[in-house]
Amino acid sequence: MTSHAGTIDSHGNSGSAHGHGPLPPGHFHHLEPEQAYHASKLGMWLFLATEILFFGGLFCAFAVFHGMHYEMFHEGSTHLNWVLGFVNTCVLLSSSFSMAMAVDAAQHGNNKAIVKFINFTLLGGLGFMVIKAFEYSAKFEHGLYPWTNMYFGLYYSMTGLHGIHVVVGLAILWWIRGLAKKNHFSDTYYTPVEVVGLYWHLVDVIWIYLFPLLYLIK
Amino acid sequence: MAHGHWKRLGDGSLLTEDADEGLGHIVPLKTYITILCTLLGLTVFTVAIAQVDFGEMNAVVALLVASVKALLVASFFMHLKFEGKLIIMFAIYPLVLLFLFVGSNVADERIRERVYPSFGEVTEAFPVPAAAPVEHH
Repeated sequence: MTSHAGTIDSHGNSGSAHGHGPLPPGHFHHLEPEQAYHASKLGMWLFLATEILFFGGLFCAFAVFHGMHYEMFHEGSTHLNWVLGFVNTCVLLSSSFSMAMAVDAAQHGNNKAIVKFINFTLLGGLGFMVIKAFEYSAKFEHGLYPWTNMYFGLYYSMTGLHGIHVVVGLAILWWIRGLAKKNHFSDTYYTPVEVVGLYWHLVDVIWIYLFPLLYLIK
Repeated sequence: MAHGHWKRLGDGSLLTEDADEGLGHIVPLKTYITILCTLLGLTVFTVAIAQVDFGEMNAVVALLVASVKALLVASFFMHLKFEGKLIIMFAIYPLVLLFLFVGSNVADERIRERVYPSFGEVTEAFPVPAAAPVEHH
């Protein structure tokens, strides 16, 4: 990917013009740090591509069945509380912002700020899940289950799959927070913070589409 | 910005403005705040515009607003605006596949009855299947 990768000997030292000293912890030992950074980021984008298509199946089903069962979808969407959906959108957008700030802190090698901003991100993700739990329990109380009809089948599978992604994101963020607490990152090595950030933003982007599709479109 | 817009490598070497070289692009704090405010504003807008009845266009408008928001998140929060061609291609190709996938299925759902006027009709060749006898145990 980089033009100056040069040859790499068996000790992992690059043969390019600018040599490196001992590699800081966390670096790949068989790649130049910069090359490893780009390779990791590209790998994350490839994973995000599979995620888009993973959710794409459900979005496709929603589009087709919305056309086939218009009345049912219209009726179903009236059972959702758009205020809760709206609040959750704002919560998730804000957590995405604090994630971007955590990556920015990482780019400046400020581990304390990484922890601080990841704390906000975690809080946002938890808040999102708490509101989602209230929504689900309200639906259950009204006897609206995944098997009620096609609309609620899709509502629960789309928001459920998204919720699983939020929970996974929270777990990974907790791990990154632990690393930052141990001053693991620096302004020349912050790849994990950035790729986890990419994942968190993708989860946010998927919700950006779920909110109008499920709550707003009649 | 104390660090300038481009990162300095650990060995102190200077960086080109080629997005494939050096570490990530540093976005000014002001930009992140502007993007967040725009995203929250568009969320209010999409709720407001959904109250107006445009018929089928409501879905199109909602998806357009969502796409603007997604583009903002991808460009700035995910730094896509500052990435090289390779990563931008990796971000675009799943969208092309998604468009083909959703587009062809929605088109099928919408126009099949026009292309095959007898689709779904009961004919001698395609009679209604007899209901399976209910078994009592």
